[in-house]
Amino acid sequence: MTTSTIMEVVDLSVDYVLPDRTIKAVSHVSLDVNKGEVIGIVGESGSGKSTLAMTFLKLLEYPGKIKGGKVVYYGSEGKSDVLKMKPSALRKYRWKEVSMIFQSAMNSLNPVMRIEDQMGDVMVEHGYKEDEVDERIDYMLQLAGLTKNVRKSFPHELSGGMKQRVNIALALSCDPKILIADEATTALDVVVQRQILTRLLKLKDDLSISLIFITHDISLVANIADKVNVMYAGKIAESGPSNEIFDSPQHPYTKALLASIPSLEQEKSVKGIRGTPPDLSEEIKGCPFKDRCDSVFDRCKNEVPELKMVSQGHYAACHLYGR
Amino acid sequence: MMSEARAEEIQRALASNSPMNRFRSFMKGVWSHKKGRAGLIILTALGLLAIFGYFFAPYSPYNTNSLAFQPPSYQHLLGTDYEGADIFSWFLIGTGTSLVVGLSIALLSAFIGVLVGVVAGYFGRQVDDVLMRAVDVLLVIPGFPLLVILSAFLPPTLETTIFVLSILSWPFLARVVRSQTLSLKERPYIMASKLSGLNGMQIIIRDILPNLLPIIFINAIFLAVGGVVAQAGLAFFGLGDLRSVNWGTMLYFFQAEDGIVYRAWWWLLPPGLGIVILGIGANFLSNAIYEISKASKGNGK
Amino acid sequence: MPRVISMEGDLMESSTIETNELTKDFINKRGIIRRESRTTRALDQVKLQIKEHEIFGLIGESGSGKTTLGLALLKLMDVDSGQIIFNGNNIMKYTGRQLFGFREKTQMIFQDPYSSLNPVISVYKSIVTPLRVFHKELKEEEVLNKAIETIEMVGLTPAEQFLNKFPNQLSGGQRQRIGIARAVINNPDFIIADEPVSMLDVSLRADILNILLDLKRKFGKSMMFISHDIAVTQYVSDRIAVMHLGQLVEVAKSDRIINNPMHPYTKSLIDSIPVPDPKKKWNLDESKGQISEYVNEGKNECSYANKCPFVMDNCRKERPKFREVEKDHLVACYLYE
Ligand SMILES: Nc1ncnc2c1ncn2[C@@H]1O[C@H](COP(=O)(O)OP(=O)(O)OP(=O)(O)O)[C@@H](O)[C@H]1O
Ligand SMILES: Nc1ncnc2c1ncn2[C@@H]1O[C@H](COP(=O)(O)OP(=O)(O)OP(=O)(O)O)[C@@H](O)[C@H]1O
Ligand code: SF4
Ligand SMILES: [Mg+2]
Ligand SMILES: [Mg+2]
Repeated sequence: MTTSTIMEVVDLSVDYVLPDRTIKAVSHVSLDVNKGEVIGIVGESGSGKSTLAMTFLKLLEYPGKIKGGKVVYYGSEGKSDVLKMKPSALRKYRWKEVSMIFQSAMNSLNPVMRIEDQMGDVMVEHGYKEDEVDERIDYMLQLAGLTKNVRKSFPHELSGGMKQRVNIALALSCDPKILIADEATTALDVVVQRQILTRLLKLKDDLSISLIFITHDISLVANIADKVNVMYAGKIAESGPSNEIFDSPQHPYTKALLASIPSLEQEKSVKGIRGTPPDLSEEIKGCPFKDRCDSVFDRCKNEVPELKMVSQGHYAACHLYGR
Repeated sequence: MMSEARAEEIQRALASNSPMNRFRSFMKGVWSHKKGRAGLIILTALGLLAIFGYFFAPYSPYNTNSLAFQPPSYQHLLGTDYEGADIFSWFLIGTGTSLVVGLSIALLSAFIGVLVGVVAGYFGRQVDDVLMRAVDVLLVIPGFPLLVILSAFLPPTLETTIFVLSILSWPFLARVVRSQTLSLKERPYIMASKLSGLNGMQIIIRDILPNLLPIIFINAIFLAVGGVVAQAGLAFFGLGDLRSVNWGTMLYFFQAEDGIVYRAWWWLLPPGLGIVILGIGANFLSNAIYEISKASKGNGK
Repeated sequence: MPRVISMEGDLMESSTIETNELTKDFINKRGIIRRESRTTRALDQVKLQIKEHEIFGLIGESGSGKTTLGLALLKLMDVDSGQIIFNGNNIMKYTGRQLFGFREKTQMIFQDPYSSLNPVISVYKSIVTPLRVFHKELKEEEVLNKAIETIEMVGLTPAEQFLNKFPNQLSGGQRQRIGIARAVINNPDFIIADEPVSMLDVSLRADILNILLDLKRKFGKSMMFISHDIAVTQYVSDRIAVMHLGQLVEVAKSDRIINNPMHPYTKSLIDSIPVPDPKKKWNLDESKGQISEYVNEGKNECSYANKCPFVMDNCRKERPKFREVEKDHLVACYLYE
């Protein structure tokens, strides 16, 4: 940990305990978030990205169980373990310290409330005065690339991308220190997306807030993230500075992922990664990627690879690296 | 083709989703919820009292051989009333009657209210206009005077009370159900069901009602409590079947026969406390159901 | 469908679905005391033709009416005027049996995988409904096998892990694939795919896109593919239409839209496509591409007139009509009159 660390995730594991089986959605994940840093989290669908992010806000609901680990937040009042926070402390922590744009953004607004009322409520609850709220709503909407027109709308009157932008505005409305964006731009066209990202990055520079981007959009991550974590089957497969991950990916999964990016010039054939991810409810022997990996060898079948350093600040969980 | 073992596994997986299993796991959820458990215990206890109370009543409620207005004693655990009848026995037997009245009102008005609300909400247009006009009329009629008038003209039986109270309660539920239905029917999953070829009635049964169940359940609980209270209230004013033994008639006779003058708290306390406890239990349970159903709608993932 | 011979005598492909001047206004009333209302013209005289065995891409900025068009085509939303022709029949007045027959042949993958799955219905029940309704002859076991096959096809293996799950037990990408499974299980002739791969990572996305392409290549189905991702749209589509504030402004073969965009809006759109190569940095410049502040209020003018650098007097007098500027390349802009 360094002096500028704002959140530290230590050895976090999360299970979903169902009557007949237990799904190990997140296993032994550690990562640091520094002030003013942009972190990218990428990985296959179902690899535990959202589950991980929900625990940062202690939002995990039944049947999710924290099996171990800590989420330490370094706030203005010293450090505290988020997972042990009382409801009263959590209320202050969520939105104001750490806020999140949920993956379900298009479905998470209250269907019977006007947008301005929903935004106003959140702000008032977090101590903004009634008279400043009005102006803030306009400002936040504009920041998220929307016009005042949507203030009086109900969610069902907005398009998918507009709802996503309302959520971005909501998440920013209390000046959080960390903003987690879980697939927050899936319905936005490139023009809008880029404009919002530019503004977010500017906010980051001005207020030194930290951004955690969970996304499948590799070129987005490559362009804005300082560090990238690649998740596979609930674990971090590779992590490191963004340019290193993209210039010299080490883990075979990262390599395969980057190889499947389609491009405009390319001829008409894009291939995925053969095979399917492992069943998280069963004990995984050896490396979780072994059945799909082109470089698989004997050791991979029995021994679980640990995260090992491949170069300064760059780690990979693969037997090809380190001893 | 599938292997035997796999086919079996799949059958098991599908069977685990039967309504019975889902109800069981829902009840488990309620039980593991603090308030839910408290609510279940209170309501179950009252329910047991209602069903079996009759068999434990030491006296007949019409047995007036003891002295009147006796405070609690070993012979009469809760004392006696103005005629010398055993109040403990009245209470045991009266609980059953009161709860049956409450439940009947809840069932009847929930049935009408849900049917009207969901049909008006889903089909809209003229159907909605007609049904909601009826609801509005019933809602603006001042309830109590109507009750008094109806009870005066209809034979003074418990059935009349149930009927009259149900007629007055369903419009509230219809309103709630209609507005919920209006918001549900705009959801894309309803469009998906339309694409799957389902017709209006099928969509109501398959998509809409299951989503409304928690709300219906919570409202039904309060309709039942409201029914008990309203019946007691009617009886208190001497309306309804005064020969029936229930919390309401206990209250009626308490005030009509000068219970207050004799400071016969033991006479007032059982029905009064019964109503309060019933209310608390209902509140706990409905809180729990609300929270659990909200959680199962899913968080932000 | 019989093939239609056009005037010139060459074989013209017949169309699966066709629209004529489709228009839809949303009127939002605000305020109880001072009643003001605002009209948003979400579809403005949309005219298009999707051919048999064709994947028809639809791109355009957020809020331009893509989803609305999709819903209107499948009769999930009423329009104010215009016509929809499906397999040669006008379907505007369809109800009852006729509508049922139409439903059997069409499906949609919805944009939001969260609100398009009923939270109280299990994955199995939700995806087999189209089979149960349209193929009553199928035995329980056949239905089950088909369900398993489809779930595994979209990459959710082993299927038995997913059959009895409820939507809130699935990740975003898993939900999206259940939505896709539900849309293809019944083997419909025409599918509207509204951002069907937005929550899938690139590796999975490739597989899903190939499944959609197979529907066309192997089974001769047609599809409308809505996406904001131009690279993906180009990969699957034969032709692409560009929408701006409710108006279609350009329709052409995919590669022509990318390589020879003509409408000023299409040009600006193609210009701003990010380089898919992760190593090439974007130009994060605020001035490039402005978020649209305008809505189409139903005036008879080009929807792009407010932002177009080439705007002329004509553009505000009457909305431009489609003109075939090169073969199979339609543009609605006075620059090409
Ligand atoms: N409430 C739940 N009950 C049971 N299993 C769950 C629940 N929520 C998630 N899961 C499972 O946990 C795993 C991780 O889910 P998560 O939502 O974290 O994935 P993700 O990485 O965000 O994927 P995506 O990119 O598709 O959103 C998935 O396999 C999912 O099926
Ligand atoms: N039910 C409604 N009531 C009022 N306005 C609506 C309604 N549905 C859509 N609109 C408006 O119509 C316009 C087009 O919406 P639509 O959902 O079709 O956009 P879209 O192209 O799909 O956008 P996105 O890419 O963001 O999903 C938007 O301005 C939206 O606000
Ligand atoms: S550890 Fe082995 S199986 Fe796993 S990714 Fe590396 S080479 Fe492949
Ligand atoms: Mg997710
Ligand atoms: Mg849309």
